[in-house]
Amino acid sequence: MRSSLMITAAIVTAMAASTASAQTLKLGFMAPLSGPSATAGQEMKRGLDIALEKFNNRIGGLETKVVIADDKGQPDNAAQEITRLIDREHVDVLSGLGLTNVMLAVTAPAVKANVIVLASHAGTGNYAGKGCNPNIFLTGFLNDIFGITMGDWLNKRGIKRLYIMGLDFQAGWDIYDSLQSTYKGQVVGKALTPFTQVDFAPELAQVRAVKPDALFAFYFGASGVAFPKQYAQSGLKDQVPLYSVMAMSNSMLIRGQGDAGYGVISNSVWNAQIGNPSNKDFVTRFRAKYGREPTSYSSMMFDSMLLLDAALRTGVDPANRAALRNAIKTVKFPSIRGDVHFAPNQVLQQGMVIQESMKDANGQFMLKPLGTVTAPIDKYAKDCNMK
Amino acid sequence: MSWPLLIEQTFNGVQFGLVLFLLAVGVTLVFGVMNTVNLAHGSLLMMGGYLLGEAQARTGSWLLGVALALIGVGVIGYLVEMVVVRRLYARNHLEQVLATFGLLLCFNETVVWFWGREPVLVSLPPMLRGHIQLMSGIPYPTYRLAVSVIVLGVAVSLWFLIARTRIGMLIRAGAERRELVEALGVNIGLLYTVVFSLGAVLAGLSGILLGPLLTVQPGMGDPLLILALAVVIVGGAGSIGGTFVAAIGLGIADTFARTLLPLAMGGGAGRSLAAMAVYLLMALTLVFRPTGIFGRAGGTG
Repeated sequence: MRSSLMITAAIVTAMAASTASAQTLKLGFMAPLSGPSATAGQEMKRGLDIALEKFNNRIGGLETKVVIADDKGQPDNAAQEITRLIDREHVDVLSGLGLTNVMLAVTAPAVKANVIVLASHAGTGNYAGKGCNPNIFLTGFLNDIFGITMGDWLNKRGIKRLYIMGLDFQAGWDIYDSLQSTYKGQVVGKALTPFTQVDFAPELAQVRAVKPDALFAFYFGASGVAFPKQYAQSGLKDQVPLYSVMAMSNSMLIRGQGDAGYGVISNSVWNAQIGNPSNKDFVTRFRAKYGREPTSYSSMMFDSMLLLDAALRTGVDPANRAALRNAIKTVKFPSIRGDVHFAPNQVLQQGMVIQESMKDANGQFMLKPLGTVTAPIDKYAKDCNMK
Repeated sequence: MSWPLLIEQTFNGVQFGLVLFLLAVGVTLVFGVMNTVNLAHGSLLMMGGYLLGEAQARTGSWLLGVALALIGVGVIGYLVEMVVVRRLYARNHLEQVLATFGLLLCFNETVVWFWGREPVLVSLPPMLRGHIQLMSGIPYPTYRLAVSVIVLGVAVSLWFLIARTRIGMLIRAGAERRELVEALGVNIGLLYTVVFSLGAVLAGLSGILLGPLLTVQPGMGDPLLILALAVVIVGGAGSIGGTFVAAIGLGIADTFARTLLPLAMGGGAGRSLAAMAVYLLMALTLVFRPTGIFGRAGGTG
């Protein structure tokens, strides 16, 4: 009698355990939540929070345990944190990833542990070409797409003489080179500046002396506020239109940029005005909670969670990684970006919005869409041999 | 390079140098008089920027904002000296560096606590926005010109204070013969508090003046502090005149290195060398004249 009771108890416990494992999603989220890139990381976290709120903490209808990891923007911290996420927390999916150097440090151990990686903001070509892997999905963008589509747009606008300024580092080089690959006019000058430089007067004087038709500038973080301010004060704002990317023109930086931040034309993977129901719902939720438009950091994180939710709702078990990654790759999810799909190298394909920063009818900051540009499949894809 | 551009770039170089001077002079004063290294000097700059932003938002006036921010940074400097820095005068430089680095981290986190991580807005009064014509064909931002004028005014006032007033005499004497000054009945502790607070106000003023040009965010002063330290080393630690000459020299050198080297040497190599220019000059100074151009061991002059 006693033994049969114990057997029953054991069976019940075992059943509970097995159903629990089937019904739980362990989601790792890694971003620079402190350190120099913390603004981006904190904003990505806001996108995650809105998604969890939307799904009542049940992504894909499963009980979701979120494990937050702060990479501090440094690969060595990231390496420690990924070990914790894998060995101690046993995460099924790793999401977030704001920086390329951090992504390079965590993907190898993640893939080795058969964790699925949804990179929402690191846009390196490494994982689109030779380094592509069935477990790695670039749900945000590739850096090159900014340059390629901006080059096209400048051609359409009849810009004949372009000056390029920006930060001197990998993602910047990706953008400047890809811009020059599609831009048909003449690049009349190029000034790349180190991260530590905060005064741009000499470079702006050179720009004025050359009198280009347009200036393309890629600055974010500290210089993303200083640069537009100094550009406006120099008087160049009335002479040379400024083109940039979403990292330099958004609802977070405008707080510091003030009036200098209006009238900038940039390209973006997403825009708050995109009219589909998913996006309307996201923007409404975000505005209600934080009192401003979302940015690409929060929107890409949110969109990655929509993707994961849709994939899990096809009924796959997160523990079955092959089924999960197949679902992620093929599921049609209601992206806030509209119509998107994965290329064979698992980079999400999308149209880029060209937008201008301005004040709306209520005097609030908005990014008004001017048009959409699509890019052909990236140059890395041909080197990707997905196993 | 055409003449108008050359003139404009010289202006830019001098202006950048003046800003470096304003930041470096506080470091050199504190080092020269108290023989103390203060890495939290950049944090006081940051506090100047934040206090200006906050005071502006609350009062709606730039001028009032500047006044309140200056007083605020002076008070912060006074408190920091009383609570922390006072205990460091007798310690060696390494311990001073460690302690003031700790202060720097505390300041950065405090700012995040109060204002968040996102940059805050510091705006300009309408009359200082925009640009004026230096000569025909050379427009120059009005605000940068105003900054240069203000810093020159500060430099002259400092010279007057150090060279012509009683407190300046005590500062000079304290730097040369501390024990003797004390023996003559001067309250050296009070003198140190005054000098440190003065340094803090100067750092705060740089933050106030740079706020509208740069990004007011946590840690904004730290990259500038490194440049200021280079200025102090080249000028000779403790020498205000030397700091002035070194700051203007390095400001001009940096500006022309950045604009000419990439053109002359092409792309990457030119850019790398330009980014190193200031530190190369610093290294050369350390090799050939370790006490700096105008430096004497621990003097203020």
